[in-house]
Amino acid sequence: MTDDPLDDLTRALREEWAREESDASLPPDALEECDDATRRSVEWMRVAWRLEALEDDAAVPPTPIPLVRAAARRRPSAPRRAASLALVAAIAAVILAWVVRPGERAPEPAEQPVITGAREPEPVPAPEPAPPREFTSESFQSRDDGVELVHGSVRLVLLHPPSAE
Amino acid sequence: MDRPQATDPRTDPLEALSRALRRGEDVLGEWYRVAFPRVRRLARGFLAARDGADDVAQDVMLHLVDSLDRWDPEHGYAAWQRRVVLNRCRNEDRAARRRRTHEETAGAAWHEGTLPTPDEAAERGELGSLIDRALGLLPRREREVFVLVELEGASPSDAADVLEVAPSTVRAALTLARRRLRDALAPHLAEGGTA
Repeated sequence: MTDDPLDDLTRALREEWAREESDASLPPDALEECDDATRRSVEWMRVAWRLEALEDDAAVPPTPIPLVRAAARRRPSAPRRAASLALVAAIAAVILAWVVRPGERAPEPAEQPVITGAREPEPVPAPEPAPPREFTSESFQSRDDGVELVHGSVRLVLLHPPSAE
Repeated sequence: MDRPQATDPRTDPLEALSRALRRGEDVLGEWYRVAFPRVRRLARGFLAARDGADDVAQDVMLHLVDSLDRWDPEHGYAAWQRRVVLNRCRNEDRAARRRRTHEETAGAAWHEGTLPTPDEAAERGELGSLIDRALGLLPRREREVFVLVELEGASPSDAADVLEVAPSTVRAALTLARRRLRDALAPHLAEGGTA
């Protein structure tokens, strides 16, 4: 108790408020505590609801097409784009390898033998054709807008397809 | 009969499927099979109308997929889904109320004679319309609370979150709903059980 009756009143109001709030957080009065008529009425509804739910749940219609489309829109397009780009790159590499065949390249000039004296220079075997050059990771260069393939003097740039999003 | 229990979010397959769908995984069919019955049941309860609940539920499903990015995975999916269903049903309810005549909404003589047990009503194909008419006796807020708590097993605090009202409001609405249903149903119930 304090001297100021207003303080007491405020405290009492706060206590009442706290009690009200804690009551509110409790579950509603259990149905078992209700009168018989209320209990039977609510139970009728529960049983009916459950029965109907059993029937309805057994019959789910097929997924509608608009929903399938909506879900497809949700899927990230990056992997698909990467896959298609890899396919195009592979095809381009095959074409490039066919266009720039190693057999058609001019042979590298052979080193001239050093003449040291009177001895006849030994015949230099004809240079073997260079082994076919293979594409390596250095042949591909990633760019912001696509990928670049470099093979000898040929340079091929594959641009990303425009995004559908 | 005990109050139905809400599904535990930690073991609810809907939570995991919704997260997978949100990540863009190909789980639409499975997600739909789990989510649709719940959406339809809730829509049917909120609208107190079996006819039309299917259409609303399909709309809601589309909306759920389209707006899945707006769901915060830090919070439970089921509660978010309930809120989406609730908002869609409120819009539908407003439109339907404009269409209905006063006599249809009054529900004065909602049933004549003794109410069949739910099993009997199901056999006669009357169960759906009886549930509709009984739920139709409740004002919107009471109906929403009754469906969420008594029929779907949501806790009062979950229901308060979904409805964005104080828990004390949920409790009051639930008490009123029970009383209204008692006044309407009890005179037509045979003495004894419900099933």
